[in-house]
Amino acid sequence: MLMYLSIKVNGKDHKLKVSTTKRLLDLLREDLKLTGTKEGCGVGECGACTVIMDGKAVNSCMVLASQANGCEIITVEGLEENGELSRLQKNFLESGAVQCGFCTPGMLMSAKALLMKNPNPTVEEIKEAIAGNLCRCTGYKQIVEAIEKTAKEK
Amino acid sequence: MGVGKSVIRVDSVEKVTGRSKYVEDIYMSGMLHAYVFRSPVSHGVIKRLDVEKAKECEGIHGIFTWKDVPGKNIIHVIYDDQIFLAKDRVLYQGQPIAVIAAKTPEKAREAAKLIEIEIEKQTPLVDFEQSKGSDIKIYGDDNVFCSFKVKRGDIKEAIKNEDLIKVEDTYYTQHQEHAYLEPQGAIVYWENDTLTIRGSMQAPFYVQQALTEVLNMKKSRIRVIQQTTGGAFGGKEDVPNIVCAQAAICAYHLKVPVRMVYERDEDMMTMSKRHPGRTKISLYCDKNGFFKAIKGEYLENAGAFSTLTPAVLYRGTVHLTGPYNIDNVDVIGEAVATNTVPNGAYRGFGSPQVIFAMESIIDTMAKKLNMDPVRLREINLLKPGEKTCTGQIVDDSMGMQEVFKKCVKESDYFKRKEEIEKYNEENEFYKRGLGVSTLYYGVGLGAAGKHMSRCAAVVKIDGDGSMTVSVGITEMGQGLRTVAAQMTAEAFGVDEDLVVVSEIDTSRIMDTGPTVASRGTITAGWGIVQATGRIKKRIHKFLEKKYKERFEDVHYRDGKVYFGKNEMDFHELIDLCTSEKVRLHETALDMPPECTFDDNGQGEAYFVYAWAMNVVETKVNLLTGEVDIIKAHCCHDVGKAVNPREVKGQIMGGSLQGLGYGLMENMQLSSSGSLLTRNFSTYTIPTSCDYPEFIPLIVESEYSKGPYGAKGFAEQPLMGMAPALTNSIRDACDIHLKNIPATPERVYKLLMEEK
Repeated sequence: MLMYLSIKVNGKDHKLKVSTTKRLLDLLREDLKLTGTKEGCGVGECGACTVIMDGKAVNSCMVLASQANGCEIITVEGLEENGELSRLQKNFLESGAVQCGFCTPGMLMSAKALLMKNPNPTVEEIKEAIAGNLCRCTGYKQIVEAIEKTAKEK
Repeated sequence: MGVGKSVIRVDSVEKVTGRSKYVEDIYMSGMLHAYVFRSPVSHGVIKRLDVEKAKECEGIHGIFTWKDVPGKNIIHVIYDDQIFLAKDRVLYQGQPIAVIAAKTPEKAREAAKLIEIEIEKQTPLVDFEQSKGSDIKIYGDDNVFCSFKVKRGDIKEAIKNEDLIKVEDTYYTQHQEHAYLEPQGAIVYWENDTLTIRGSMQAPFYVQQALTEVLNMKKSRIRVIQQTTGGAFGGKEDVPNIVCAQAAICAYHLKVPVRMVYERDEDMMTMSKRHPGRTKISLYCDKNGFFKAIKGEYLENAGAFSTLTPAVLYRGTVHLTGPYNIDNVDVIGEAVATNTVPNGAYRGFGSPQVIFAMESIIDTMAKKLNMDPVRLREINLLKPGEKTCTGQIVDDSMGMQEVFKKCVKESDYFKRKEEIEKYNEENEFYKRGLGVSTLYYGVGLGAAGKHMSRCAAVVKIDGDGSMTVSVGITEMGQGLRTVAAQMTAEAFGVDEDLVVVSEIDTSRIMDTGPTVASRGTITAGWGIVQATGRIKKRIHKFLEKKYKERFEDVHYRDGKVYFGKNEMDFHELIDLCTSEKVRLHETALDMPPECTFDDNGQGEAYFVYAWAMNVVETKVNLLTGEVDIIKAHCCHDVGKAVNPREVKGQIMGGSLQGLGYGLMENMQLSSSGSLLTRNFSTYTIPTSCDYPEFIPLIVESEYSKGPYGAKGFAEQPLMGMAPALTNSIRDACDIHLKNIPATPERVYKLLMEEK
């Protein structure tokens, strides 16, 4: 079954005709060609597909596109500010929070969602906010530091 | 800029913006999706296979079985026992039988349900300790794939001495899943009558060789390009041969692009893992604690096919006795077949299993001698000029002693030991402990892989001074492209921004073997040093001719070039060389130092070694058996840290994988060999809430033959963490874990037995 939906992604309004069984992840990657959001497990366990939906970090593989009807989505492609890397992105580079990069988009979105809600998180709150985002390369410490640094700079 | 600086990774901007293209991000027009139909049983004989009805499904473009393989129906790795698409029998659950090419992955999965197959089930052989000589035959007459031995001194004579103190035990280790975040994948298409493969992989030349045999095509018609790769850790060394062959057989027949991306459960169920192992050790020392003799028996569970097992077993056998000075050694390693998923390369490559055993038994010996485990290690650690178990003198880049001193000092080991003792006296239900491990790692492929050991680089400088470098080494997240850019920039005293490290493409660079064995930095580096050196020599000659005088040296620094009394801007020099037709393009091919290994396992097993020590603190809850990892000092001699930030990244990331192996990663198989842990909910890996306070420590004892003194070490951080962890648990509450992982159930059971 097909349906019409309106969705705002990275500040841009879209009206799309999609299958009611389509996942938000596929809508972003296939219909909108926003391939920055990754699929690591497809069952909501790794966090690689994390995007921000109405201010909350969600696993986009676990959300149907139809559930996102009328919602505002932010993906990794929406993080840059005026064509420049945001502080969060810069701190990821400078802290060594990036290795293979596959978890990075999801990790950034969980971090951004946290900072939108809680601009001064404790280290424990940071760890908890990204606990659903698996990273097999870094050991996490550098990621937590990058988020901490971003919060302090504000 | 240059070597030794923590420059920002060259690939990180595209990674934080989502612009990197991994396999799943490539969409081509007319592209089909491949999906594999697999064996539902662990052991059986295929009586009938009929794909005709499935082929009729809407959206299905083709279904390919062994009958459709144009070349050999094998996936070449080392031995040729691995069948590409099963014909008569199946040896593990998930073994590939047919590949379906469909318009969407969903349609392929629907069609798979209509494939008709009759398999006569046979009893599977799952317990690897029962494999050798079992009536159930998987490989050859006795199910033994291979064996190695290391014999030094005279063990029989040595243990006759009745004054020697002996400890012996048997240790077991489990499967470990790589859990790279990007699942396996490849896209295959035709371009210029050449079959082009873009895949997530560590070893494009392996893939090219395997496809040459499967498709019966010339190598030059098979072009393999490594796509941005989302983690590998050994899991993308040889198995991309299988993945790429599956997508390739579809594209070969259908002449359209075919993409294949594994689902996570399929990936976990069918891709290689760390070999489970059993290690028996008898260690003998004198009353002062000096190790005098060691006997070791290492048994690896290889799974249904040999894949990389011979190479994995070689490393395990050679690393069993650790970085200690022991004159009498008798070690044998053996790998056997079972009806389980084939095991292969994983960071540490056969050594974490034996290091767990050795580092555990040293603590048993320390207890018996009433010595501190650190003191016992200290008096036995190799010193420069002493010999390893293969009789190899270690003197170049031998940082063991410095690593030991630094780690003990920085971790404040002895003072903390006292504090912990006090804490434990005061606390009834929580106990803390400190555990250590010391280890070494033979860098590179060693004697067992020397036929593949080459290094090469192509360096090209354009007229504007910018450079392109190609090496045969892949970037999978470890930072190779950054390190290669740094080493190239260093040669010309310029900024890394001028250097682009191109993607690996088998049509453009020579086969320099796989990106494994912590050989990336040294292999790429040797090629780069040689290629840039030749260009610099040519420029030197040109300048002498141009200026009509001899220059002792042409020196490159901070974007300037100095020769005699002259100084010139680097860009000006390149502009001049270009206009005067000096060739600024060089291809270098070189061989690393020779390795040897005789029938008794004696020789130069590896050309150089990395050295390490870990100190881990844990807190054990005596009421639940839960273990918290508090702090980890991880000290590594890396030769030269080309990029210290990335070195620390390898230390922390690798160490957490090792702690996961020791503490929680628990792959479960059913009694019939079916893998039960197929996703991250059941196979749990460390999260952001699990990592301890990491203190990564670097020692740089430069390797005289290495590029800028570098040698490589990236597997080592994983290798000694499990025993450091279990030794700290033992220190906390006096339980001896002979199996990992140290799950609460296991710890609690031992605590109850102790009572």
